[in-house]
Amino acid sequence: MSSAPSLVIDDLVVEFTKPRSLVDVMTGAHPPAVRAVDGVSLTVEPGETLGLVGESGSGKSTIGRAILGLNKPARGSIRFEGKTFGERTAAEQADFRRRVQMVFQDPYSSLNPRLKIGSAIAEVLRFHKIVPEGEISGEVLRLLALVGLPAPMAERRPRELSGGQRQRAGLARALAVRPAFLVLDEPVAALDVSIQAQVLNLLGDLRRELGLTMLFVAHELGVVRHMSDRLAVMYLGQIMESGPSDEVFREPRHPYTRALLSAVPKMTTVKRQRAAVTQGEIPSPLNIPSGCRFRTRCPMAQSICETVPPNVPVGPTHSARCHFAAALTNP
Amino acid sequence: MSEPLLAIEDLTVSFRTPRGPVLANNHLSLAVGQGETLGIVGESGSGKSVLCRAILRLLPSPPADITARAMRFGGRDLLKLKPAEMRAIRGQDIAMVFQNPMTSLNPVWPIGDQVSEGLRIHRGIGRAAARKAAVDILKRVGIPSAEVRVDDYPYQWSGGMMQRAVIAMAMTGQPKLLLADEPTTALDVTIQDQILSLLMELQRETGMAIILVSHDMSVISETCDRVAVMYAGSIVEMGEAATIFHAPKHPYTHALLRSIPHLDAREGRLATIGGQPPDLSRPEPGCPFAPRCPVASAECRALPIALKTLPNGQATACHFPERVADLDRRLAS
Repeated sequence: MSSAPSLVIDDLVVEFTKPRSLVDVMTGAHPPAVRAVDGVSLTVEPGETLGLVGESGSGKSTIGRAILGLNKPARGSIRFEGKTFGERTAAEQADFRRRVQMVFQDPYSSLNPRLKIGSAIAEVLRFHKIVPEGEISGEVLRLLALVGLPAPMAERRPRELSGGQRQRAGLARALAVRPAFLVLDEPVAALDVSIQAQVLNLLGDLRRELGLTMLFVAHELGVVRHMSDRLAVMYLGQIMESGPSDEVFREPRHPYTRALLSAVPKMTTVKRQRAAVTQGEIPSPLNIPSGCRFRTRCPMAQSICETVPPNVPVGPTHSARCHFAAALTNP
Repeated sequence: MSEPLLAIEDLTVSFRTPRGPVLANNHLSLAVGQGETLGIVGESGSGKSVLCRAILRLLPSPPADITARAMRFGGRDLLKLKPAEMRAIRGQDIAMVFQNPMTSLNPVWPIGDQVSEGLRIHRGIGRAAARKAAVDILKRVGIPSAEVRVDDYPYQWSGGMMQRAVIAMAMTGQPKLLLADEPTTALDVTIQDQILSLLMELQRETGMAIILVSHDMSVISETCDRVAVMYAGSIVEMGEAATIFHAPKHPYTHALLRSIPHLDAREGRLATIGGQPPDLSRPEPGCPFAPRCPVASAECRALPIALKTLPNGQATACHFPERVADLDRRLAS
């Protein structure tokens, strides 16, 4: 395996526009574009898991989808093993489609309801010619065993499986093509805690055994902490803070990261008396605040925050997009 | 504690299905005091939501069959009330907030009208006065520029704002008991934090009692005085929240607590619970958790089980609560 990064995203911008209405066309108007991702740069090294966290609407899933080519960048580039979409030959593109796989939050909506689990896995094995035709059924059983599903599950349809079993089936299908890189979009958000623990353990085992590189998108901080080597915290389409997971959790340097961490309910023996950590909600991406995007909700905001904050390095691989990042050390 | 606000004795709810009756609530007894917060925690299918709906008598019968020795609320037995009397309690003395605010609000009706409808019914006030009161109550639950937003439709509001509106609607009857069924599960963590603080503020102001249903034990530990842990339709452990989360006396509670990933350390593997919850249409004689329990013995599968109260006031439905301490020792070694 080369030591070059698996994935390099540079200054990525993804926009969504409403289709122009007849009135728009007649008046020559263009509906405003929503910038879901606004200038994001990040790198994922081979074998590492990068956690991407943020509230709904922060653009984290859009990045995951853009990596797969499901959302087109308006600006910037996404390089997987050194090449962007345009730079790959047709054969390389087919290889990319195999090597980069996505696992969704609810596999119920990504598995064909009419296909038995075994057939759904066999289909991708056949399409990507992973094993000769005669070995497909054996390979299906091997994959089911890999994700901890008993063999009879191959004969079931998605609706006959529990949430945890479906998530395992979705994972088996993603792993069938022997990917190098997995994009996991909220893979455990729909599961009960005891099932969530099983799926997280499974992901950890598979990562180790298969040497997978992962982008782990989730909103639940405990889960991300458990899974990630490095962490990027997103807010309104930008990365607010990024760095080694341990460091960011131990010593968050962006007020938004701090707010997120404080807002997580903790196991405690005293009933809380405190007011909420943040006021207000994430602003509309159609109406992004000038300067620092978090300033409308930030407890430390000053007039300087109306100017765009620099990305302040606070450690060798840790940076925070805040004017006060250097001053924000642990209380 | 004097007379509890709500006292449920031996509540059983089963649903008629083609495969036979499914026992969703199995001989539950619990009490909620005035101004108290009782947390109900458990995984999907454990019967938490059925319990809330049974209290409000929102389960149509058939398919539901509800029996209880008593379900006393403010001196009256809810199960003996006529439908009209129950309607007067519902939304007035006992209000409910559901998980998904989008499904609690009518999508084609302005939010202000939906809030003032409750005010007109519960307080018997006129249209204009109700609208003014709706604006006030929306302000109280933290809707910015409520006088303008009162005419908005639900789709114009975020999930957090809609949940605030639903809480506003629940508060219009000045309830003595609020049933909150996973009120923050669909929300982001910062918004969840705001909604929990709001609920607790409203509780301090009005002195209402709250039954908070959640799958998230941290949410329960931050907000509740007492907690009931449910598994497969039964309460398996109940007592002071601080005691139970610190020293659980049921292996299921113990296992649940162990399976949560923590913020402050990155542990190697999470504890899991092997197996599946039992099929509620085929009740077994012994403890429902026995097939998955790491410390179960032959007696556990055979002997019927009931909640028993330990000397410290904690109640557990485990034949051998002392074995739970062994679990920690086993994990430590």
